[in-house]
Amino acid sequence: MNRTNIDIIKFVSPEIIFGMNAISQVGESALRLGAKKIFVVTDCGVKSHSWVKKVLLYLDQAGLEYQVWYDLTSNPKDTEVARGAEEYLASKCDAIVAVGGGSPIDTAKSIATIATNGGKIQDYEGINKITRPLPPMIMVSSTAGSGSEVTQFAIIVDKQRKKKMTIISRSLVPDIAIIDPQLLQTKDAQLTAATGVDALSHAIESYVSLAANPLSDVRAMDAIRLIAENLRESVACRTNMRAKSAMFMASLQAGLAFSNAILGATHAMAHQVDGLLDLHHGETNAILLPYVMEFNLISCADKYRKVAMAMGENVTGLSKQDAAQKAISAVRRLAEDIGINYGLSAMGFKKEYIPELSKNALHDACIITNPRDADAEDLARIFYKAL
Amino acid sequence: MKNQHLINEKKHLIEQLTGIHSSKINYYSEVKKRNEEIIKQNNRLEIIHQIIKDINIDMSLSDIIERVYQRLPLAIHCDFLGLALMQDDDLIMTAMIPNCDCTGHPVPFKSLLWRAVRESQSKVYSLTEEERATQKCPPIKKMDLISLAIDPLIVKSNVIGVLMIGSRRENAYAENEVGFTRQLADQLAICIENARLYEQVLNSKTEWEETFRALTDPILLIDQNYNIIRCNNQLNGLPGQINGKPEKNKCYRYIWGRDTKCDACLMDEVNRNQAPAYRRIQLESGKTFDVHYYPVFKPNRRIYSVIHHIKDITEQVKMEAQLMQSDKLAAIGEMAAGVAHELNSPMTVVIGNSQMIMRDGEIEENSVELLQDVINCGLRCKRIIQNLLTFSRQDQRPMSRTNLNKVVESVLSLVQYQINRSNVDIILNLDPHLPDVLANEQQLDQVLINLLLNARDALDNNAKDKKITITSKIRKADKGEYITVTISDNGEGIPAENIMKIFNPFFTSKETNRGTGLGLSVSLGIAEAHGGTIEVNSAPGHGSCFTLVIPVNHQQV
Repeated sequence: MNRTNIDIIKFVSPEIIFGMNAISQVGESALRLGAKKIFVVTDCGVKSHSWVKKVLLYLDQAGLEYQVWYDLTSNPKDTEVARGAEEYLASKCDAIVAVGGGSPIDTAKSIATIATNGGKIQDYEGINKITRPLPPMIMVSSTAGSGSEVTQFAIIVDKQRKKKMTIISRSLVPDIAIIDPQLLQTKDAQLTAATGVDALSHAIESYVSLAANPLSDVRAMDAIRLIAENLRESVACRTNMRAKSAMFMASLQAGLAFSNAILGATHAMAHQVDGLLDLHHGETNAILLPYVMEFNLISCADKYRKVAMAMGENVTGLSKQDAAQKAISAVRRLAEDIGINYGLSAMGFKKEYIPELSKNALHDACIITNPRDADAEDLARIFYKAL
Repeated sequence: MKNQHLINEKKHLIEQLTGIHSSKINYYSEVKKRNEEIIKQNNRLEIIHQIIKDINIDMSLSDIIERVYQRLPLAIHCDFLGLALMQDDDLIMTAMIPNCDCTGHPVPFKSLLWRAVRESQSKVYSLTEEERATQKCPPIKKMDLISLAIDPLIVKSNVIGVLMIGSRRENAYAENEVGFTRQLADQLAICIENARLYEQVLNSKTEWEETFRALTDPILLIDQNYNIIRCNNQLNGLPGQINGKPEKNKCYRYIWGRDTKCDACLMDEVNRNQAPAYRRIQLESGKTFDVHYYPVFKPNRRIYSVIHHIKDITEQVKMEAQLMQSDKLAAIGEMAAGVAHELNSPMTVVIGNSQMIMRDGEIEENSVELLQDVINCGLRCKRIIQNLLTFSRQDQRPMSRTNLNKVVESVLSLVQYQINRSNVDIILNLDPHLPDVLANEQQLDQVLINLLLNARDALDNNAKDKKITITSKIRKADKGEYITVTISDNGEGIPAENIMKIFNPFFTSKETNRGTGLGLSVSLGIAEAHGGTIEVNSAPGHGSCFTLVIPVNHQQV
């Protein structure tokens, strides 16, 4: 299917506040949304950081009350969401500010969903199940990767089924996304690497997605270029503000791209692995991405050629297929350069999981927009390669 | 074809994912939606409010139902409105609109109404054709009701009845309308319960009022300032009544016809002692009343009002006086009997011996006269004793033909000596042609003795020329013939202010150890028992004149 088949396109985005010290806008932003008492969602890893205190300080300065909640883990669980929603309702807050990476942001979205729609988060798994507006949400992102601060997605682990649930709804798009490059400094090299490759996978998958459109393509392309140029430096040096800032912009662009163009098989599969093993989403993506690209190559070689170009590869004179191959090798090289040079088994993934996870991945929403039709066997083959 | 289907399916999925057909849900539309609901709910509350406002506490149930029926269509569909109430263990159709001719009938046990009672829960129904066929409820059949909202009326967790709202439309009542009908039912339950309680209170109030009114004695509730709070309108024979219908403000004006509070009022005493009090009042008219004061306390032991109970005891006092008089006579009789017995034997000897000496002859002329005197005096003694015995005899003899002149003579035999001893002349002026009257001689004795002794007492302070005249006469009047016996004296007379009181029991002008105040009241009683009366005329300083009037032909009752 090519783009001309989709006659209508749509692009959604929150208000975005980007830049050095953008975090100082959090109080006023909340005030503008009519908030009186803020439910601040963060996680144990970041709650002690100085900029969580800064967020609270800005809220204070705006004359807002708040309650801080951080009872969550990475790959947030349905039970944590339920507790958070209970806490939110009990606290009589009327707006949510999430501070952190994908986990607190997705948790915040889910808490907001239950707060006004009731029930449990499982009720909203799938597409457009939310029927009532959510409380105002402001997302202060601290990782350049997930892009969750701008998307219409929330990924929550169903603890019993050991499975990631994907919740998709226009209503999950936050009201305001605040992206302040200063916040990136605090991350270690491994996390910077993982989130960086995560952003790259967002950009590449949304670029070749069946739902891609000109508005999302521009952002995907820009993200790929920025990541190829800056990720290595960002991982290399904690205080390289220029590189960090560029990575943040890349993550934001990728987020906007995939929020509108959706993703592909890499994410459909990675969701299963992460749900099972509680792994960092970025790493899994980084490992799976080149293998999925190989599988998809015949469906969108032309686009991969452009990806290769964006990543700085010289494709002049190469055939379409060879040029596309360049993109795959460029991704591999980048991953290796920043230290992701291992397979899935290094992260505790076992062969036995493959049949089950391959089947499950077929039910993931992301598989729909993958450019090449895939069945369970196809996905299993990819898993084997990536071991 | 199949391929096209797949393409379309995928296109549809992708459209869903990218959200072509969905948007972020807007708060404005949500608020609008909620607002509409709130406005709707407000309207309904307003209607409930109006309905409740329309219902008065003394309205009948069918009136209540009618009011609700008028308003209800503004809030929900309503083709039929019915009310069934629990009576003992039955559920009775009590009121309905429109009428389906089953008012007063018990609701069939299989009815949905009973289900509401059993489950104590509001429910809405939309009946299928089949369900309708099995329903026995007349309104469902007659009115072709399809939708029903049935709410139990609950008071203090008891189901007292069921409210039934029906519509001919299908699915007329949404689940969320249960809340409204539930509220309506709750309010109606309160109204019905209130009406029931009100009736109960009203009934017991009427009961008390009737009890209060049934008493023939005047009973008044008065406050501390003698204002009448409530009274039972029994005013017979009280002085307040004399000047037409008295004003019902102050007790002294209403009852006693006075302008100021009564001199002997015990209100202060009641307040002081916090206890009931009692006084006896004798009016100049001779009426005697017992007046009781019972304080009514507020919860804090302060007196809130006083119950004033007035009892006419005139008759009772008269009886008491007569009783005392006859007690007195009984004592005299007992003594007289003893004296008579003791005197009879010696007198028999005195008279017998004197007669024997007379019969033997050979007595000097002088002695015959002396002996004859002894015999005469002896016989007179025996007669006096006999009269005394007769006078004091207790048994109620039937009336017999009696000559009043004889009564006068017999009385004089008893008291003449006493009177003469006070240097009083008795002048007899008796009509020798008096017809007999039907009378109790002993009682008339009493009357005349009383009058004579009173006349003597009235002469106590006269220095000389003390005189009592006894006159007997026939008086002819329109109503028939009367015998009158008048006893007049030329003593001190009776002061004008006392002339009304002299016949009152226990009234006396004499010193306490001499008079009991019983004589005249008892005498009047006796005269009246004979169909007669006692008349009095008195000129202070010149003497008094009492006349016993006895009809010649008195029909004994």
